[in-house]
Amino acid sequence: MAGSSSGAVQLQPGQLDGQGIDPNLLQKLEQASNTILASPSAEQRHAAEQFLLDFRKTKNPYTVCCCLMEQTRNDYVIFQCACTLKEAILREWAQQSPTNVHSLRDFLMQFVLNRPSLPVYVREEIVLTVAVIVKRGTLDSSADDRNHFISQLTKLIHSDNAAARVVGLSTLSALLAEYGGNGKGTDFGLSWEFHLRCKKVFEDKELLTVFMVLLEALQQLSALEGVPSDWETLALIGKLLALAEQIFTWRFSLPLLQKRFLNNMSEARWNSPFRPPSQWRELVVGRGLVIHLFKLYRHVQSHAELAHVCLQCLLQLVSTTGDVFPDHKTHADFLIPFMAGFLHLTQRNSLAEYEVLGVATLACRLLTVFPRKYLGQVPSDQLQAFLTRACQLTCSYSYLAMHQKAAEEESLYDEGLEQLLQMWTALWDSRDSFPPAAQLCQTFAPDIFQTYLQSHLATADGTAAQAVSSDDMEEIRSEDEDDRERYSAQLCHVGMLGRTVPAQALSQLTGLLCERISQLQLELKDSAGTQAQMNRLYRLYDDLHWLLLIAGHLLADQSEGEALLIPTELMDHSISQAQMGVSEVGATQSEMVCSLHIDRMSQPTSDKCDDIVRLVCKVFMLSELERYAVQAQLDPLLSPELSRDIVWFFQRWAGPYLLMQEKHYPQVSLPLTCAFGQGSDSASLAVQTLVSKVVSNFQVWTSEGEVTEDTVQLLLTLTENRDRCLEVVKCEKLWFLAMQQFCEPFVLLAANCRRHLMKAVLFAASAMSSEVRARYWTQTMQPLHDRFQVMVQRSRGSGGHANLLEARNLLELLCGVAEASRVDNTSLVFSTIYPRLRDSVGLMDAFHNYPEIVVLVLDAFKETITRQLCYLSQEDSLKLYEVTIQLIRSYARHHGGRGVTVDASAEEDDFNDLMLLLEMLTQLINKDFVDFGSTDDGGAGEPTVVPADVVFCGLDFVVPLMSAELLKFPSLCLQYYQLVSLLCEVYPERVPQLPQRLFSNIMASLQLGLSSDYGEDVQKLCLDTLECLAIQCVKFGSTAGQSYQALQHFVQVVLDMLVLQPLNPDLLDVLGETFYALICCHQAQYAQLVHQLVGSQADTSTAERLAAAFQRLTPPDIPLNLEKTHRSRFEARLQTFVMEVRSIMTVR
Amino acid sequence: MADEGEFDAAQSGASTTYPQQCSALRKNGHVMLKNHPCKIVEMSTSKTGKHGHAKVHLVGIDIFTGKKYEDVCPSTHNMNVPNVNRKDYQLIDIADSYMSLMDDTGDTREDLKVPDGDVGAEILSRFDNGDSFNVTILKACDTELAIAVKTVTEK
Repeated sequence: MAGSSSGAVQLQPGQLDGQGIDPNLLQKLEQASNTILASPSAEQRHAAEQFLLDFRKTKNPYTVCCCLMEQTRNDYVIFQCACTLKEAILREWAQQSPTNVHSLRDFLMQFVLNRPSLPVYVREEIVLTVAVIVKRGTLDSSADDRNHFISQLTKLIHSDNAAARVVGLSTLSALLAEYGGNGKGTDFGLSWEFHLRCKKVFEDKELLTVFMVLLEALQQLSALEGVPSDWETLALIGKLLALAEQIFTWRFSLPLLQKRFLNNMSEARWNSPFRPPSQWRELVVGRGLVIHLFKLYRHVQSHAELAHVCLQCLLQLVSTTGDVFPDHKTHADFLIPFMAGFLHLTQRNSLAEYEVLGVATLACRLLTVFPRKYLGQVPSDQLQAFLTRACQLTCSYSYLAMHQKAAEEESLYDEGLEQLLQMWTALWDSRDSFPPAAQLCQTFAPDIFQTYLQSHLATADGTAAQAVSSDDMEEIRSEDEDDRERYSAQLCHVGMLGRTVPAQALSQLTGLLCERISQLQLELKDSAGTQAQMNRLYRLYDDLHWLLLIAGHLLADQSEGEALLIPTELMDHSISQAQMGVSEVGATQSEMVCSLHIDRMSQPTSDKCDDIVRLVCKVFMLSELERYAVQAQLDPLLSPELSRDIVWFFQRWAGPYLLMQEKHYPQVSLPLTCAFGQGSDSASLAVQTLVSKVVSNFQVWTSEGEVTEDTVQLLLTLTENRDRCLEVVKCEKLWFLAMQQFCEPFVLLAANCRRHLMKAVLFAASAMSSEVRARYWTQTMQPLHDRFQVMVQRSRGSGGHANLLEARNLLELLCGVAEASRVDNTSLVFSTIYPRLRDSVGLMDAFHNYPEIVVLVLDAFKETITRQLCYLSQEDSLKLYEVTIQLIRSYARHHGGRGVTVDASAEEDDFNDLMLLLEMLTQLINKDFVDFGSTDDGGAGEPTVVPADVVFCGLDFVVPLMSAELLKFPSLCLQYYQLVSLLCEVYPERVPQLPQRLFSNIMASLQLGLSSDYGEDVQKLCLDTLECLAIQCVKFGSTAGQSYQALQHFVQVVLDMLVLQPLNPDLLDVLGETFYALICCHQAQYAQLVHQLVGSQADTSTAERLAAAFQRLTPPDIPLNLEKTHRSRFEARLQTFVMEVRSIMTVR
Repeated sequence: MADEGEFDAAQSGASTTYPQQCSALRKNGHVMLKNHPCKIVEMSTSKTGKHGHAKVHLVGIDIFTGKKYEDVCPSTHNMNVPNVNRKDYQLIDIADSYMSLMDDTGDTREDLKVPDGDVGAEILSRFDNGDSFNVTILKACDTELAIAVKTVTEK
């Protein structure tokens, strides 16, 4: 910086602080600084800190600080002076002349340039002060001045002096951080509007210059011969990369998106893509930016930190979108050097650990971020080369992921592998827009699939042997994720890749399964149980475990709600095999039948069997083998995990395949339908085998909760679907299970499992003809009835512990019955459950001191109301209401009046009873919302009890209990507010009529919900509630009454949320709606609040602008009423209003 | 209620615990840990190696002393579960820190002390206030303790 020194800071005499300069100031400052840096006692530290803080508040400190900085050799004192200057200039900006400001800025720059050995923290603080000065002057000074400053920085960056270049880059970095800070920059004490205008000015004028400087420097550094090793160059590169990252993550202002504007005001939530304006095109695409970055990467790849930042820059750059790409040609021009760079980067033999994830993510983004239809623009040999490399990486990651596991908890390679596999899936999915993708994928899929398989196999042809043996005996807790969850993304991708080459994938899996099964058979025949054998078995189990997981993911997808279908690729494969005569129906069928009889398993298999069927047959063989081993009491040698895998596989497979629906497919494969389809003998045989398996698992693995849970899920899959259920009910084993579920060992199953079992038993009943069902009923439900009767008799009036167990068992089954409710079995289930619910009220009385019983009773009611009420006829509904009221009264009698004490160790679990009660009440309201039940004969007239009666009865009891302490439990809190909000939505006319105490309790809880940090959902619910109440008031023109009065207070609450408190943009819509309803209701209050707010502004221009903004929001000539057009127009105006007012009122 | 006396009589002499398979125990239920009747506050399973068999880890709090006990056992094994009984009595009087209690049938007893801790303090303060209230007595393994206070509500 030319010609400036400390002398250049000319201050007018009058500005000098009246007290003059303390001659000992420097000494005192140095003392205080030394004290702080020398680990002082708390007292000394406090005194020193106080001294420094006071110093920072010095008025007009410019001359003093400049002198001190020149005189002292203490870095910390320099740092303190810089801070003081920064704070003072912001505070006293208005009193400073432009000349003063300039000289201060130039002094600081010169100071930092003259002292290249300053510690980094001091240097950064000084350049930050400079940046703050520059930004503060943005709207006052002309652009020339700033341009001049930046061009001086440019000169610095281009100079030969490395230290000067670092200072130049640091200053640019500081400028970018201040201008683009999104609320993270220095606190200026100015409105948001100021910050945004500065940002826009900088973005339009200087940012591009900065980018050019960066590009040139990048070019220069990347052209270096050899790898730099001196720290000066490395520091320079570090600075440069940091600056590049700042630019690539810059969020450009978009004028039209108001929501985005609001998002800008809140903290940046994620890295948005790089979206430069079109003027940047030449620089981003045309000047080799990507090439230079990759070259630079080569220089820094051995420096972990620099390499990481450089990779981050590349990853962010690859996300570039928007106007810079006007056509696919430009897209391709950008993509091609990226692929080339990637190839170059990965040509080394091994990657360092810090590169693993970045490189994989880069590959993934290259194919997922760019529109894949542009892949055609990439020269085919380059694309081929890229994919070849990606395939090599995928295979090596797949190997390393298994082998690095022992060393680290979370394997880097696993994450990387997931990214790479995702890339392949993306490629396969793009085959419609880019047809060669299919073939490309098929070229590489076999390698990847095979490597993935081998990496997971421990024996003979696998590579995982050493990896597995080390964690053989590791303790695994049930809360830990199992492989199925942990690797679910990987497995889905690998399954998908397998489908692209079905012939290879299926035959490989089948072959491996077949071998392992024979080995297992041999091991089990000669079961010595020695440690050596256990080790061998363990390996075998692990192989089988992975084979089943991969096979399951290959054959079928899992989805909620949608009909499960056989993947197209597999269906097509099966069809074409049959057409080419590779597979035959007869051979396929006999293979399937053989696999279901263990004595026929050794029969030679036909090679004319369908590939898919053959794979499934192997799993049936494995399953039967396991069942026979269990019968031979070899279960101590068996693996519960493998048992889970087997039933899990069947469940996944059964969804789309077993008794498949031909109508779902344009064309079906004959061998598949003959083996698995409707009416095939082998399909019914398969169902029988599966039901037997379920029973066997329940008997053998009773105490293995995870096995029984997976098993009962299989049973549910079988019984949920009507076609399969028709086969299930033919099985004797089902009848056995249904009758025996009250006895050991089934009573020992985990609670959830017993519920699900009962549910399946009832599903089965729904599929029976009426006479069969009658018989089934006597054998299954009658015992439940009888036992309940006995129980109720015995426990009347007392809760003896002998009955406790039985009560628990029966109630759990009752919950299972309730869970089985469906639209097609309503009357059956209701007639079963209703008398038991009546009994349960008695049980609740008898066992009121036993929370576990209370919870179960409430649960049974809640489930019934949730799943049944909407289908019940009016008559049945009435019965249910009445018994529910009895329940609530009984509960209240024993639990009311004591309040709920929440001690420190309490967990949400402890309040399960309240939670269930709240859920139950919420579900009751739903009846008035959704009702499919018939209204009987119409002559019944008005029902004597409506859901509202029950709800209000419960409310009366439950609302007073909901203290602020209880609401700290998140799900309890959410459930309570859901109840209140639904209540006001469905019964807006009844709520204002509630008894005064209850009503004010509810209103107080709304206030609590809005002002506490219960989260966005709760706030939304509270606002919805207020809106409903306000609309009700407006509709009926109420100007009195408790509801009208209570709402008055909330006008201000909501207004404050809109303009003063930190705003969550997602709440804006609901805030607007609520606010409108509230001001319609309380127009006078609104006018008064506006008046107050405007009046409270110290600054007249702010007050005027504020008043004008309110005028535009609610113009006096537009009436405030609930007409739809007025409402929606108000909401549009509100967005502008909030933006405007917030940029005036928010200060930072 | 007349048969309640018989009911209780039938129970005396019966075992104070019964066996139950470990996997059938629940959180918030009861179990004997190191011969102490405990409420299960934590229950988790684990296995040795991916293909191992399940073991159950139990953490319990002694229902009388509040001390913490832990145990691990294979999920197929049986554990002893204490018979736990809770009964409400009306508090009639307190003399020498012994409570005079009356049950539903009008029978009274004076053999239980006001417990230490919060519950005891609440009993004393509400008694001094002249409130009418019930005390819940927990009984297990031949030990009894007042564990809660309840306002009497009209039946």
